[in-house]
Amino acid sequence: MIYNKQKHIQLLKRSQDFKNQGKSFYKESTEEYLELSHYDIAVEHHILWQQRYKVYELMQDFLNRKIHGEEFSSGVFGFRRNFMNASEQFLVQLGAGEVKYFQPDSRSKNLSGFLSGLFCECDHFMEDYQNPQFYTCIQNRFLNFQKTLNEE
Amino acid sequence: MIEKNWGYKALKDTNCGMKIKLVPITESTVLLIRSKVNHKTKRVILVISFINIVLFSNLESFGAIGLSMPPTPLVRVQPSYHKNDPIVYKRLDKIYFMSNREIIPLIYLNAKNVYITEKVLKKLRTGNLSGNLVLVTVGIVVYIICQLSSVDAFAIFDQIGKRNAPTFDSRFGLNPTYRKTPSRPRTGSALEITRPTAMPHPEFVGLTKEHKRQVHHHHDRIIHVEGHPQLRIGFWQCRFKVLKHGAIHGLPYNRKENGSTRTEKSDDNALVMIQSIEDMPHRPNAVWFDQDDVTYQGGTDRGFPAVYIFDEDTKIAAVFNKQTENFVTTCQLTRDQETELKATHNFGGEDGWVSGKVNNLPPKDITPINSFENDIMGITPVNDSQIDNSNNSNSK
Repeated sequence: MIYNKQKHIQLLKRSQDFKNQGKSFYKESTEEYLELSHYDIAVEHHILWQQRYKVYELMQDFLNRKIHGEEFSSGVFGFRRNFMNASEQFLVQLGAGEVKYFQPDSRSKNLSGFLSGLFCECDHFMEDYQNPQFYTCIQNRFLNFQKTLNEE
Repeated sequence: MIEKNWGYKALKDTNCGMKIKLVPITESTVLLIRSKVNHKTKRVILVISFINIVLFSNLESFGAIGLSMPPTPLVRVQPSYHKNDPIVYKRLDKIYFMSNREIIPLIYLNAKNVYITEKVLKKLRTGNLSGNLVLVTVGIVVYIICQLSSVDAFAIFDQIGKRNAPTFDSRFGLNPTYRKTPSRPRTGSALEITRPTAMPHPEFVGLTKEHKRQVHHHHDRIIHVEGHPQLRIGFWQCRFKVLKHGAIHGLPYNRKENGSTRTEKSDDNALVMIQSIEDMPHRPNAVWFDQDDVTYQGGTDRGFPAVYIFDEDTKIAAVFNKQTENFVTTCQLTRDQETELKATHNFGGEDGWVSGKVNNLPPKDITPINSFENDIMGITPVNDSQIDNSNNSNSK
């Protein structure tokens, strides 16, 4: 998908209009909604790409036993929360015309699904982070993550 | 009958027995005592006499004072003062001199502990020590009498002591506490899941933690919306999830430095979260995902057929297991997750990030390789040999 900033801004405004009317953009105009979602996801991937080393260090610290599972999980939840806030804020600025230039990094789409899976992993093992299976899962993710970064 | 006793005229009480002799106290006797003994000795004599009377008489043990008394009708004394009479506040004076008699009750016999107030200690330190010691002795004698009479003195003093002894606030420090607040909601991370009465003990013990969190509780709620599967919001599961997901349901939270939120894991908070989830189907832009192909973490060994209630406005989803109808988790979806859910009816599943089984490498074996990425950007590249992609079974 080729990112089109003008189209993205246009769809953001459409979405806001539906929201102001108390209607669901998804229900009312599914096709436009899906197009907007693709643009929004491109923004999310770009922000995650910019912050990839934070996740990397977090995982590395856990695997090297510098931090325990609870701390790691808390870090993942916190990272995701900050990431969502940053994405939301960026989209608001974009919709308001405050962003002059934006083009998502083409490599960022390679991280698709990474944070979602990591989050679900931590949520599933909540209060059971001593479980060796949790460590193995994170280790697998880390090595695949390394491989992806190495393929940049 | 009058006879001589210790050189004085005495009356012998034949009714009481031969041990007690009543001595008529005349003015001459009193004068004799006054002239021969001093004040301290008088007290000692009185105490010894008291002990003798008690120990060598035929006093019968009696029931606990105040415990077995028959109920008596309550008589309210009508006030005899007039409206215009001046009111005297007895405790207005800040400096209040206490007599020895008033000091004694300040030595609390609270169960197995004895509290001696500062006032008593000061009194004992400064003057008239012997007089106080006599009074203390009297107190001990009374206690011995109670013991001999099968009266649980501690039971009496315990109640007095609890009211007067210093209390401790359990919320601060490591002080012991005597306070019990059963109505206070329980807090803390440890789940004390109680066994349902209908469930046999061996069966409950054999459950995994995950299954224990799904046992029934009287605070469980049922979501029943026509045209959709019936769902159950379990109290224990909600209490378990409220810690990290309470914030998105409007509960108060602490935000950690790393950005994560933490809500107090309490019964009350769990109930609020249950209510929030129960209300989700009634939100204006709620969307049900309950088709046959809907899964959670599909493609992994943890995947299961699921039902989602998703709020379009807040992007909050509640996940239920379609087979058991039980609430599993809740979270706010990223746009990526939301799109994945809408497009594939699944999220949190196999995403390619865990495919492949890593050779059992200890963390130290993840050795950095010198490269531009490693040296400049801090990335540690990994060899393909470290990942075994031959086994695509997901370890999730």
